[in-house]
Amino acid sequence: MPDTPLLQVTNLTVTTADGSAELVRGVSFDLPRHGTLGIVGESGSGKSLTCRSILGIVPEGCVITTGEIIFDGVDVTALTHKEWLPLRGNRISAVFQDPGSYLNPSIPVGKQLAEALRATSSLGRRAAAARAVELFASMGLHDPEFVYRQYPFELSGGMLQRVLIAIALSGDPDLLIADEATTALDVTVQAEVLDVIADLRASRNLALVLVSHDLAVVAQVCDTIIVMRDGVIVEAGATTDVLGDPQHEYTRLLVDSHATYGIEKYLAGELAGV
Amino acid sequence: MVRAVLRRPLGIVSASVILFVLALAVFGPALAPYDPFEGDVRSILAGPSAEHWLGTDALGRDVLSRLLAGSTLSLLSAAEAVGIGLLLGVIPGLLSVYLGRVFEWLSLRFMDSLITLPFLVFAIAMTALLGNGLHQAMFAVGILVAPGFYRVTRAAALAVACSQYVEAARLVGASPWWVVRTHLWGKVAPTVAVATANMLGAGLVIVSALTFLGIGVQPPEPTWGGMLATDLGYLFQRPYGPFIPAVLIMITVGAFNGLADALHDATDTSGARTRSRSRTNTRKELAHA
Repeated sequence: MPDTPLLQVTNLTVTTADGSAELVRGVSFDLPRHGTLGIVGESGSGKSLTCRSILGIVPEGCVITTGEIIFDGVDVTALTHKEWLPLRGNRISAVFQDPGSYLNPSIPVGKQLAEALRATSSLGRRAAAARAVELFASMGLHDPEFVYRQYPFELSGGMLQRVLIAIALSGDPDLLIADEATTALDVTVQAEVLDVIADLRASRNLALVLVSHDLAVVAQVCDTIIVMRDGVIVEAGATTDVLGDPQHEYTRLLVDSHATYGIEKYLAGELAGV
Repeated sequence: MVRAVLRRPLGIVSASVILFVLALAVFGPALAPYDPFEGDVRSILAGPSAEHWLGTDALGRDVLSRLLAGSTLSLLSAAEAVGIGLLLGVIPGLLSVYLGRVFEWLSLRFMDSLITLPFLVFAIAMTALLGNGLHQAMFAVGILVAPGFYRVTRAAALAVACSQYVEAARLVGASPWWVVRTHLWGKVAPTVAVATANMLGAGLVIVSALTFLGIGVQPPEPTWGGMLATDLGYLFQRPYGPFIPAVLIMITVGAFNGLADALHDATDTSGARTRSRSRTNTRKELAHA
């Protein structure tokens, strides 16, 4: 089915368990194979909850009340834990903010990647270790053999995020969800990690959902974009259209504030001699 | 870990004392110059001499020989009690994090109720119930030290079980056994090791207290606690008598506690080991740059 979208979210609604509050309301979008989708919005707008719904890990106290999430022809909202196992890691992967907390601090990072490799493929111990070093190298980590033996606390945030991306991609998934994956990094490292993600996407035919509150990040990587606020999609479309000519007031506000506080504005003022 | 413990002065001293006492326990009975049960009627309550280095007791038995012979039983019984405590504490402690709320609640309440039991009374009641033997007494002691192990294990395991890497592992299908082995055990083991060293010291005190009271071991059999008890009866004739087993108990218990402290310092994640490790790595990184 090459023409059908890889991921189809229709009218997704997530509420608290007692039904008192709707946290995500009627969210719908399609993601074609090898497509890139950016979800932007302020904190609490439902971006992460949407992502977690796609991964089937809605936090305790929240439930998906209506809507379908169809991944490659399968409605994943109805899957049990067992039915999820062949999907997670192998077909859908995710990277989150704060990479350090997703790694065991007392096991070298290379070993943890090798473990993931051995879980998703039939590689032997030694082959997995070799493959792990290869993956580290492809993440743009210098001296991958050295990194292989490092403990998580010995690596910087940018390196950790690369390690995590390597682990996420170890199962060769079709869809990678990056939920604020570069938020905790400083700007130069963030740009490097985004480059790594963009390169990998191109070389591996990966579909990507990139969640961020930073318009610049999304603009750099994504073809299409969704703007969310208070659990609702306020605007959606091609990135250039949405950011270049925002229709909704809230999107305009976001774009304007970016222009107001962004460095472009400052530089423009400096050059004009203001 | 072993090297980190031995690098500390406290660690090396405690470890050597424990090794010495262990050697006593293993070779002591063979090294004893006299039969620990055979009395010499001609020298009763004798002072130290070339023949009897630590003198003789009220029945003319050589004190040194009895101390050496008694060390095996005293240490073995402490180890037995702690072993039972480990088994009954650590396994439920790990499981309580995993087997859901019902088991968690039940095991917590069960351990809480064990803590309320008074030590000596429970041990006496158990030996009254099961017969006055060392194994019965140690079983009772083991049950009573189990809550300590349970709580220590559970606390360490809880912190890891709630972490995101354990959640992630479970989401991709890791079995509970695998999670325990790879993620939990490494975090729990150092804490359990410290608790074990501590409990061995405490166990020896309890064993000595019980044998002092005549629980667990029948009179002719030599134990440190039992010797303390009989020697107390002859304070007037041999005022230094009770000190000999008492000092031996104190030194051994102190060594176990010292070892526990050294273990704790060595495995403390915020401690010197982490710092020295990252320092060597920084140097390596500099060399790489």
